[in-house]
Amino acid sequence: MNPLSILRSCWPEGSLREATRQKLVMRQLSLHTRADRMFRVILLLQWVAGVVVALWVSPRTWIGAQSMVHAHVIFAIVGGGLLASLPLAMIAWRPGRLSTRLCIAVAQALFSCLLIHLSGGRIETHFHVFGSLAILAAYRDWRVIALASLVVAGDHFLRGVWWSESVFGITTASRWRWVEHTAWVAFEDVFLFIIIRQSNVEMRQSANLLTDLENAKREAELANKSKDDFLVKVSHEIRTPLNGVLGFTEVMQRGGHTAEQQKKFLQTIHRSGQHLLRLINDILDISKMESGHLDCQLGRCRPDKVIDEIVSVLRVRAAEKGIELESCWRTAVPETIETDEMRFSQVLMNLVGNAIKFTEHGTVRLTAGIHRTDEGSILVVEITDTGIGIHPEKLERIFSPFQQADNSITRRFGGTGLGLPISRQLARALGGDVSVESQVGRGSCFRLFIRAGSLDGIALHNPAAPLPEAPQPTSPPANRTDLEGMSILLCEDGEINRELIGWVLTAAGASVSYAENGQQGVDLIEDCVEKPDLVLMDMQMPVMDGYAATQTLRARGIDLPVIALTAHAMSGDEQKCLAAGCSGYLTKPFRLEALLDMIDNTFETTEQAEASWEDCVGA
Amino acid sequence: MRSDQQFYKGWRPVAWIVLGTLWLVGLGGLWYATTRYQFRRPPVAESSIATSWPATSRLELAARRDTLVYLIHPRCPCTRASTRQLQRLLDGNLLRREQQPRVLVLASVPSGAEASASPRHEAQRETDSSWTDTDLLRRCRQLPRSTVVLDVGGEESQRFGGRISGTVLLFDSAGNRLFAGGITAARGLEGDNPAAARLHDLLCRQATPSPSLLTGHSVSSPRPSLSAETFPALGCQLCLPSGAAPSDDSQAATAAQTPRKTPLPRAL
Repeated sequence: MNPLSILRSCWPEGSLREATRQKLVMRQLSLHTRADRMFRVILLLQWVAGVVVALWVSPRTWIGAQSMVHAHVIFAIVGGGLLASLPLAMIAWRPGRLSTRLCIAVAQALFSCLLIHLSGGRIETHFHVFGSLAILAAYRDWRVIALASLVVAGDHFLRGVWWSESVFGITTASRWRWVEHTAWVAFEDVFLFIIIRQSNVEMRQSANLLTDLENAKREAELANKSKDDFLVKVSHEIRTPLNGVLGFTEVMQRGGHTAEQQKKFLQTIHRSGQHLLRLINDILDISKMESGHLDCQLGRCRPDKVIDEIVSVLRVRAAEKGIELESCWRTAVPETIETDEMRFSQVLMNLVGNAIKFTEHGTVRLTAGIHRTDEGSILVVEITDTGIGIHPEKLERIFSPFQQADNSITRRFGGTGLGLPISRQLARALGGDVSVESQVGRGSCFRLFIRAGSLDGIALHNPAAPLPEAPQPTSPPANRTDLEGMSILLCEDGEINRELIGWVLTAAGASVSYAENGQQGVDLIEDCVEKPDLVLMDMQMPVMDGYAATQTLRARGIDLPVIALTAHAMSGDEQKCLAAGCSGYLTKPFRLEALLDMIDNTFETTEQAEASWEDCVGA
Repeated sequence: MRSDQQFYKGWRPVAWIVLGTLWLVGLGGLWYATTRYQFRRPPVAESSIATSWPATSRLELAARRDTLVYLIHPRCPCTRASTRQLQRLLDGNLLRREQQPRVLVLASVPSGAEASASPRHEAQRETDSSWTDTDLLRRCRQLPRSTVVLDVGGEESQRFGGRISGTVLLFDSAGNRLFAGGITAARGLEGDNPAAARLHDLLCRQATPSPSLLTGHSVSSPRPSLSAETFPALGCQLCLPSGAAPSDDSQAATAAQTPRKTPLPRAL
């Protein structure tokens, strides 16, 4: 390794995080202060040791019979005291400073010279130099080692050139003997530098690790707090519509209401249920986004149609609040763009729904346009409202999950605070983003950007096309009877669901049999000669779940249509069900119409069973 | 109050810089003083050292080999290095048997030291043994072919003209002085040096006669004498008779002509 690179790497500071750097500085300060305290003792000990050695080896000098204190004793007392004085003062008043340890380095190196002198130049005393360098390495600072080595080298140079016997013990030494001695010191220095480097690297790694641990702890605490906040908010959001469901259900159980009142109660119960469903879907969406499982299915879709549908759906809600909902195109309308229609629609629904929600009077306007860039075309939809507006400091906060501008907003307008974060994530997944401008009291303007894909060869139309009329609220469909004569096996462990689905199927004319788990269902099918026309399979059941039951049926050559019913709505669940052998897939809660349609569609594509299932069960 | 604090805070670094500078200057002075001390010659003249074996000396000159007189102060700490250096020179590994000189260690002690060594003076016994049983004397007794002579009062040392402990005198069998001076290069520092090398050469040449080109007989090559000015001894001053002043060789010889006033040196 290049010596210069070793020197440079003795203090590897590059690209340190601020928190890590602070920890490193604090640790270095602690280390240097500790080493200072150690040298306070060492310097005092050396001073005392020098005096003791002088008193022991050469206490007095003689002129005949008369004696006086030997010069070595004076050197030991005065010289040792002088050497130790400034370092001790700096340790007392400037602990941990670079200047303090450099001063100590000089003193330590010169203490070697003094002790060598006091010991009569004994070669063994020279090991004090190597010992001093090793102890100075406690500072983990190459500058300390380098300075001490320079002092030793300088002393050897001066004495070696002019008084070689005072340092080498001989007068016959070469004038370059000091180089050899310095080389031995440098030899030790190389190893000390390597050790210091390793120590500093380890210290930095340790500081990094500590920073990571602290960050992780902080994040865990934040996550824990977020979880608590989440539970509180979700709990509130669930309890509010649930209160409507339970309350109106109880009111209806008491009886004594007119048909009109009952209808209104049922509508409220249904609306509350839908609100709960939206909440759960939002939470699932957030979960998918955070786990990186958000999938977008790109395809060609008509943007004007999507916008018109959103406007159509939400115009009723806007009309109920007495505000206007408008849309227009300021550029030509591409016939199609390449995006995920469902996600695009979801984002628009969130943004426009929000705008209506926070607007008391005035207008909500959608303005769409296509912008062509070097990287492709971008669809921009501006949703401008004349609502309450958002404080500038809280503009970014609204895109964090479960965050609204402030708690008063939650109390006044409700909501989970999930709509905007989901919208931004979806927009980003579609190659764009959501931005916002707002003025408190004057309204907000949300801009949705999504990548439109290539528009080469795509026709552009005049945007002046009339918007379709808003659909009128429709009543629930009358009971259908199009499952007449069909036999259906319902594998469902939930008693309420068994009862509900059984009632619907029976009302539709089907003959329904029941199994409480997958094993029962498989046994029933295998034991009967005449198989059912179709199986509705709950995928989560005790004993044997729907996946295993379906796989068992397929493995035994039974090719009955099996429709999976699952409360799992995460990405990949449908593929998992289909991979298990299911013919269709419905997510709970499902609309009853959707269930009947699914049965119809599945049944049409499947051959009728030859044997009568009812006979089999009856037998 | 605040301005005072700012004043002291502002001047604090300057104070440290001044202190540091003074400290470095002091260290430089210390470094110079210790180094200079190692090479500082004692404030006495060495020119009075006898150039030939003093006629009045009570010591006996060896007839068939050189005689090395080693003048020491028994309590001089710096002479330990000279003794170790001499030990190395006279070691059997460096000199053959016939090259070994007779070594006379002349340890000068104050005249009161021997007198007070009587058991009747219990209080002074320790003090006296500190002169007559020192580590240095024990080392000198271990020198090859050595005889340690206690020179009470230092008169014998004075005859040889020595003043400084660690002085080595080498005489040939004819009494001619071949070498005089110290054998360490610095005070208390043993190690190879020109004086020790020179002494070694002189001892070796004693037994390596070179053949004469004219007669074919072996004759000893002349060995030039070296003065103590060239290689000064660095040590304590010897115990000499009170009032003894630096003198030249003739004075030393003259002083040595009154043997009745000088006590007989005592071999240890």
